[in-house]
Amino acid sequence: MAVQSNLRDMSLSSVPRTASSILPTRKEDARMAISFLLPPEVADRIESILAQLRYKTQASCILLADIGGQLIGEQGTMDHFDTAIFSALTAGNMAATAEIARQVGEETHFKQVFHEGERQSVYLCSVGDSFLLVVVFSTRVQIGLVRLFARQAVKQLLPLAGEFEALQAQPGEAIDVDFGEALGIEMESVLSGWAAP
Amino acid sequence: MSDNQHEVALFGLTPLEEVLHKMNDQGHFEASILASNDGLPIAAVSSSYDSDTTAAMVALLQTVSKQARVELGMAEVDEVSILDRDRIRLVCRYLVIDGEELILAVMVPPNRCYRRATNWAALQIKAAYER
Repeated sequence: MAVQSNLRDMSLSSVPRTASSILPTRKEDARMAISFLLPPEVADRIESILAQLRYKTQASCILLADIGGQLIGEQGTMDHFDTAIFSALTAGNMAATAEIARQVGEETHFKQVFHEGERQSVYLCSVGDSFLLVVVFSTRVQIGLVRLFARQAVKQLLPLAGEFEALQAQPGEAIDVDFGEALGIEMESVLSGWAAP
Repeated sequence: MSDNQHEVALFGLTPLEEVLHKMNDQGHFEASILASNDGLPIAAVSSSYDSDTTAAMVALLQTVSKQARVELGMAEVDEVSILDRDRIRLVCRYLVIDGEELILAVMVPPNRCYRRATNWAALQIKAAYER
């Protein structure tokens, strides 16, 4: 599903209308990615932790993404806000601050990054080495509150992140044994349609 | 404040702000804040005091009191209070919840008791954190 999502991102303008209409939205991509990689009970637990964090902080939106920006879980929505793009941007942001940390002599990356806005602020923190927790919250909410409960959520997410990492390290189990053969047949069929006239 | 007015006043508050609001009502406090030990506000009830400044100052007080405790060989500090010439008292109560050090600070008007209300709030804060 993640591959399909990337293809859609790269060639959206060239996809015929009929084909693009059957492709899932980015949010659906994210949910499919979760169901594809995560056992349902782990995905449910992640959603529950994010929902609790949102309740306690009254955040506008909460995202959990991997270090590459792939969305894993989300709670809450905002107008004109694409969570898949946002999670990719925050991953880029964390990568940039990792370099800042290196420049100032830190041995590891910064664990938290806070952006203060006029109406909305963004708090980013790492969950282990591979994941990011992103909290978008109104400036009416105290930063200390977000920080306190984000730390609590990180403690709860860490064991789940470990499970997720273990699953990612076993791609053979996620892809069916017949996948290679099926892919070969499909590729052959597509390419034969492109044969010279 | 009537029950209805109270409900309206609490609308839109975080659970921790609700606790502070109710504690202020119980103890007739002028202001209250819950801050982290590094000086960031966690919850505050709106008052004339700036929450960022108050949080930073009560965290500073905690640092000094910790140093004094170590130098003087005292046990864990339960509270620190500052009394001004108008008899207004700043009380800082220290809480440790799930390894997080928090500071509950209240401005107590002259001749008012504060232990019972702040003890109640400490229990409620713990419950809200663990809920």
